[in-house]
Amino acid sequence: MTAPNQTINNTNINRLDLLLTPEALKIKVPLTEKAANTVINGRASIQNILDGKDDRILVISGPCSIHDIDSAKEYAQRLKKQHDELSDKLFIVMRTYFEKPRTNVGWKGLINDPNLDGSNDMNLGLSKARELLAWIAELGLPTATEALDPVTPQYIADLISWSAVGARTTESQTHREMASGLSMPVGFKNSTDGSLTAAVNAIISAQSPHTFIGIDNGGNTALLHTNGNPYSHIILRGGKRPNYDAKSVSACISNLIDANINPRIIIDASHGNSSKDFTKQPVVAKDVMSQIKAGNSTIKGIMLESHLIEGNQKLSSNLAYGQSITDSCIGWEDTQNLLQSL
Amino acid sequence: MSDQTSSTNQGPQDLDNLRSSIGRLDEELLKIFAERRKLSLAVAANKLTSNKKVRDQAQEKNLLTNLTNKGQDLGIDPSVTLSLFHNIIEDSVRSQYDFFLENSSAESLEPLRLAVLGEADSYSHIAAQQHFATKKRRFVPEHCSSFLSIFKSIESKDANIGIVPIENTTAGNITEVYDLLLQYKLHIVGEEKLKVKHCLVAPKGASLDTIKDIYSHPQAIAQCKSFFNQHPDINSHFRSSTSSALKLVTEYQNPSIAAIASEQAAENSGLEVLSYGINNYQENYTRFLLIAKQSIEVPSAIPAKTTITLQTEQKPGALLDCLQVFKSHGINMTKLESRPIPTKPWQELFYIDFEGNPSDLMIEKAIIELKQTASEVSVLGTYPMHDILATKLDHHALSNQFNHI
Repeated sequence: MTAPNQTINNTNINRLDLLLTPEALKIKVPLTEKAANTVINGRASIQNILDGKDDRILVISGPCSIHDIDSAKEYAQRLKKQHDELSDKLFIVMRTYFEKPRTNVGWKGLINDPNLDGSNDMNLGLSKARELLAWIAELGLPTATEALDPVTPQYIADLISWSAVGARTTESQTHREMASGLSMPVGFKNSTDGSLTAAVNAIISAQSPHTFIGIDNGGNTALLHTNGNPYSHIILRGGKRPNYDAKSVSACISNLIDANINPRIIIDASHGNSSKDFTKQPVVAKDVMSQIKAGNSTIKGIMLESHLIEGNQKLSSNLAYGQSITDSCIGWEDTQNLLQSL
Repeated sequence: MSDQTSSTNQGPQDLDNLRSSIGRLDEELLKIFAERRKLSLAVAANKLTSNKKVRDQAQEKNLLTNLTNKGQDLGIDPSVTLSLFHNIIEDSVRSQYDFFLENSSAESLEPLRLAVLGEADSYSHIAAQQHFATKKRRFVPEHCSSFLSIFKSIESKDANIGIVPIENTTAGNITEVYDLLLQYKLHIVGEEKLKVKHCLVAPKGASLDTIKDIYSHPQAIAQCKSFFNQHPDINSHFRSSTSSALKLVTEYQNPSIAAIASEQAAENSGLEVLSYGINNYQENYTRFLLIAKQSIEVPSAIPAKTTITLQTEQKPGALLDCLQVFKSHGINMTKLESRPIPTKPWQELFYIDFEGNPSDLMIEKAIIELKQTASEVSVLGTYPMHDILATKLDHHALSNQFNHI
């Protein structure tokens, strides 16, 4: 008797590595009391802003992606000063994106490939991501991330105050289910072509209970029963055309009301809204602010792609410090000036 | 006071009054107990200067007889008086032992860094708390994830002292610890015995009818085997520690999933305790060893135990010859355990615990004799004996008392 399994199973799997469990990572990098307070207060403030109980504007600002811990920490320290200084008008949260969906192939973020060389050491990537999140939370600055892989939240979500589901995954059932169980508010981006349908359906789905397969804290497969996430909302990121203007925003509000969704909107100043030209982000942000000042209370926040050095660079062995290796960002000085002017 | 306690009126108001009177009395009792402890330490100081032994069983006997008589006059059954005062005397004797120990060594009172398995509320941690309860010296726990890391952290001086379980009265020896003792050449400086009460813990709304899966440490599951035999539909699953099992139950919030943990951990978990003491035998004890880099000297006024290892030659009756040494010196052996020697296949190393202190000439002689008989003898440590046996009253005196009832 021969076992035919070898020729049927895993024919396209090269190998498996053991991955540490969420429990083991949390023992290695624990959630301290101070960090926990940052997350609790961060989530509560964002929920109050979404509920209209807090009039401040949520600003999510940070690099397109994190690839270097040192420059991310320096950025966090600078942003924390703005967070404190502008806390009467703005609630500033740092964008800390560890997972990047790619159009076809490419570097998929710090968790997937922390060595930036295709070695894909995810044990290291998860540790680095959790260590950085814990460090920023200790600093007292809340963080925001994109929830891309449905398993990674078990490792890091206790340190995060807000999450986004990207334009490419808003239509995915897996991501809607995940969002329905996440502990923090979740934003769904409109589709890359600019249509709102997928995001509106995603909000309805994520606000409802789901049952799906995931892992528990010990790393075992488990059946997760969610309550639904009441703080699911839309993010306007532009498409073929920008959609941050008053006319597009008002069309979005009607769309949400028609679908029986409480209209709460965050506007991404980058991506389709800046027509992929990072220098246009301040123009978009200022226009959005003027709409808010004119009385539009459904706009709750703004997203910026920003780093220490403006622009971006190709991934190489000789990287400039503090500059994005994915999408282009505005530099620190422009970021600071923009935040001060909002 | 007599107005309230003798009142026969029934009602919620009176019940409150009665309860607060009892509360006041209990506080009085506590204060008196604390006062008694102070006096007992003064007695220890006196015994230390006059070179007397801590325990004076004739004196204890007089005290207990006197107390049971007086108790009876007050309508208290002698058995109740006895069990009450056995606890008080045990605390007093233990405090006096510790007083002797602390005064015999020039120890600082800086807290000890104690390496302990598991998180707060693990059985090892509870045993450590119990061990230091009568001591002046405090400890700060260093939580370790394995026995090996406890030994390593003492070896590297990260911790001054460690506590490890060595045997359980239901599940037997923890052989890994025996092997590490030999490998790391640390000294045994104390022992502790903990009565183990395993509790069944589950989320709100769970009952024995809803539970299908129970998680715990393998030792705890082994000690509750009869429970699983009685509930064949419930599956057991191993976790690295009881605290990890509690975390899992908290995460799942599922009435079909439960954990087994200590009473203290169960009550601090925020979950519901469905059953206290589901171990096979209610008299279930785990013995712990305290280990350190430096050995200690135990004052002769305190009953001591010594642990040695010995290897015998490969000839008929070799072990018997060694054991004969204990018999001829009238030494009480409390444990004999054999472990394989990995470098010498099919040869055995024996661990022996016996009552006695090598500072006693008779014990010293016995050890010298053993060294002549066995091929290798080493002393792992001498430490204060944990057991404080209750002084028994004469059968005659007791039966007389019971006859009066």
